[in-house]
Amino acid sequence: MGNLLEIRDLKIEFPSLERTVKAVRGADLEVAKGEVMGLVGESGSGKSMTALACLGLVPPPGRVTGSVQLDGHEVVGASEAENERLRGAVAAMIFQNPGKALNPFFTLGRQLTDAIARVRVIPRAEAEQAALAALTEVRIGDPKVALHKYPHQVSGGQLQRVMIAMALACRPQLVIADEPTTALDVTIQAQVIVLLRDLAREHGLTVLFITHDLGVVGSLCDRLAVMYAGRVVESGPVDALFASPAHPYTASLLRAVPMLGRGRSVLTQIPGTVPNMAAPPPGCAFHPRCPSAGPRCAADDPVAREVAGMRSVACHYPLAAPSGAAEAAAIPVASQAGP
Amino acid sequence: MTTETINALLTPERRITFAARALHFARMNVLFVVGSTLFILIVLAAIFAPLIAPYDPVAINFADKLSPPTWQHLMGANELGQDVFSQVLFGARTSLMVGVVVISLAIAIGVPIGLLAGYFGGRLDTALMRVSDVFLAFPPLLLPIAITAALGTGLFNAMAALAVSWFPWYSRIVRGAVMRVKNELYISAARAMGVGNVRIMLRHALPNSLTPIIVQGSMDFGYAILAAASLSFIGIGAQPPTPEWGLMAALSRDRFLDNWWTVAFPGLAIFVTVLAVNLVGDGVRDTLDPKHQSSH
Amino acid sequence: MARYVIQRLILMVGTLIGVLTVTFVLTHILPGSPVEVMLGHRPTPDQVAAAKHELGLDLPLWRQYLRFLGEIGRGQFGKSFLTNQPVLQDISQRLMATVELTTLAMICIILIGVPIGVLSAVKVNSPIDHFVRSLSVAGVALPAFMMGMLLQMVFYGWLGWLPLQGRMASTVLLDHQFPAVTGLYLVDSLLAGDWVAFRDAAAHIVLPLATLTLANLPLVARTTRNLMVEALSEDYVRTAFAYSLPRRDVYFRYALKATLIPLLTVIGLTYGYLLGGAVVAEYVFDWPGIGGYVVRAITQSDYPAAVGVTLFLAAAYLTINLIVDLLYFAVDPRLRRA
Repeated sequence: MGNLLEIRDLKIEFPSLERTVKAVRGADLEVAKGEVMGLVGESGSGKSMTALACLGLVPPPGRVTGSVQLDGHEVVGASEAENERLRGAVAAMIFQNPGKALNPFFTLGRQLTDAIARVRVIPRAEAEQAALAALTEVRIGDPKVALHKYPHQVSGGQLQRVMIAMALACRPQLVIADEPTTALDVTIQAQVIVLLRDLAREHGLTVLFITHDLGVVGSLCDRLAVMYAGRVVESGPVDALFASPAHPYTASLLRAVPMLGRGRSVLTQIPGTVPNMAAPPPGCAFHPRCPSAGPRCAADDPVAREVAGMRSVACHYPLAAPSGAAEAAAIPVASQAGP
Repeated sequence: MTTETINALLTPERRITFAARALHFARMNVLFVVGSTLFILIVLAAIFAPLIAPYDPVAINFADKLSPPTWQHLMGANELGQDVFSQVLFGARTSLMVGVVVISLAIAIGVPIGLLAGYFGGRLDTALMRVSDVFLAFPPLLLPIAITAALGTGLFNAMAALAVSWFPWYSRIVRGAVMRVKNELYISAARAMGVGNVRIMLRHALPNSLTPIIVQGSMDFGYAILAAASLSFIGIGAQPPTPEWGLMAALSRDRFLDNWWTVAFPGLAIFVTVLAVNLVGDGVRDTLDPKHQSSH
Repeated sequence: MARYVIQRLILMVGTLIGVLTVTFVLTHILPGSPVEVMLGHRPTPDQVAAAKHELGLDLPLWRQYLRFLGEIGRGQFGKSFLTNQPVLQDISQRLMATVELTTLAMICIILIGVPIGVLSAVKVNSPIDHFVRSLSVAGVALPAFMMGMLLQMVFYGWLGWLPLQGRMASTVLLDHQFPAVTGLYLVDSLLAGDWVAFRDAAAHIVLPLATLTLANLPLVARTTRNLMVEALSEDYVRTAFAYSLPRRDVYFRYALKATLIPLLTVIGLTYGYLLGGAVVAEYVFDWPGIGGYVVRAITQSDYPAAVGVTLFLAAAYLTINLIVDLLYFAVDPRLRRA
């Protein structure tokens, strides 16, 4: 099958009188039909902006160039009316903080019904039935009561379920989940992720899952893209990336994640800070923080290239040998990661 | 650490950021520049009114009665043949003085009340704030009218009346600011070192409420001028022969349809002055209170 | 919520007693002796003493105060010295003229100011936005009496389209008598089906109405704009757009509702400004309402009238603000008890 979402050389800039913040600086990403794609990066790496760009929702004065193809429709530069037909119908979004993403002045039922009726172009009564069904599906206790509640009367985890129900009930092909669990309690996080995974499988949904937490990606995603300073620096199947990260940044991210079987002692922080996006460093944006940076890194910005096993990496000195098998590639990483 | 060192630690940085912000702002905001330029011109006109004015503003000259604007009378003359341009110039003195006096008086009444209420809290706070609320329960302009009438008509009474009906806003601001800093570490430290209440209030609590007071004062300056002109217009503010813009409009009310200049120029003077003052006030607020910047 | 209302009502009564005290203090340091106003020229000392006794002015101040509170408490506002009518009757005769003017102004301000503010916020930093913001800064700087005289100059003096002042031409008033059902001329003339009277009343109200509207519009438009700019940056607005809700619904339902509470506060305040502005506007346009009445009462030491109207206006203002506070509960579900 082809790609449901194809992002090519996406650039998003926020000009102001003094400086221009380059939130996204030429990101490439594709998501195939039916897969669950993880998009990982620190806050400020441009991953949320990339997600918004998928539906033409980048807020003013943001300037978007490049190309975003959603189910064959070009989003960048399309009219508001054209993009409105895609929103919810082709791709539905789940936002970070459900407490803020839902309007405090309207009941959950009203908001669900408004969205469903509009997106699916069905009468309100039918939309309300769909809302009820979706609430049942996201395992909300007593969905009929929930319809009449206001956001402040419901817990954060429940609200995120409502957001998921909203997305689901619109029957999109793609669900874009932008850090859906960040604002939630740790125990609730797991429940919501399990729910998302189950729903994706049941409905054969394509999912773009955005997070800064590599820990949740492994159990949920088929493939993974890592963003740094507005670019996708590495992408590939989750297992391969976890076993042998090719980009030093991915490797550092992995090292910073507490994972089963790796013990607590390996928890390290990435030295340095996220670059200033108004004036990103020349060459590879990661080179000031990179443990294996060479002389080329400060001068040339590396271009992403294909490596073995459906992977691509944008680095002059990738960690794993491009031709090497996953097992072989794992060795230098393991040695870097320490005992 | 003495209170002086604490002071030294607190203030200089704030001054620098204020200066930097002001400069940055002046560069960015054309309206502020326009407003302050106009304001400076008006202040200069007020100061040098006796030198600029071609006539004595109160001199009666029936020969020029109701003269339209000419080269002799740039803004025409009124029923008594008084030169409107000269009166407008001297009126600037009156209006600027009104602004300064009203705001200063309101601050002088409101700030101590707010300080006491905020610092001591409890019943004193409740009592003082309830009393302030009474003054806010009158529709704007009605209380000044009543007070002016009680004190007797006249510009000074009108100014006092405006200040008396305006002070609770300053009490509220100061009270809020004091309550915010009351439990800060450096105030507790000062208290622990045995610094007296009055001293703490004046040296620590008061400076903290200075910014909001300045912001409010600069925003209210124009309102004070407008309100005083309105009181003069309905006959209970300035009395003839005081050159006052609202009074000028009122005195020419009977014939203004045929002699537009007798009302239009004083009106224009009020408009331009209040506009300039408000633009400056907006600028001051945006500079000192950056969280408002998005919404100016 | 019932408890809150009761609390507020008690607080309001307390504030009103405070207002009474302030007006008492003010009226009893009035320079002109009310007795002289009441008795006219050159009363004999006996007459003065008798009148003072009748009014209780020979009692100690604190007893006068208690007596005053008692009278007001029983709803006795006394007689106006100038009209020689009970103050309450004077007020009721003039009240509806002011209500007609201020209420229509409030409606115009909301109907014009809120959409302008929303438009300005939606097109933030566009030429429209700059234009609206400049106008609102300029509008605040023009005093209401100036605005009124300017309108008189243009629409009566130059164009001759509208009457100069008053509530209705006396000729029309004599020839077209209609029953006073509500006291609002526009409504009553319509109820009577009298088009001539209605058109005359409408023509008379246009200029004072425009004066009050224009003088208070900038505050509402500017506040709406600033609140909307904030509301539009909320996550839930983005959610609404992400589910392709129509822009008009997002602006005027989803976002505007979030601005309603602070907006209601401003509208309550604006009503106060309208009552204050009505004093000036009624003076300029010779509008027979309580604004002009209170000015005359105060300047001519008619102190029963002054006390009565002051108290009445303060009570009206407090009531409006109480209603505004209660509307919060209707608007914001978070304030309601679950």
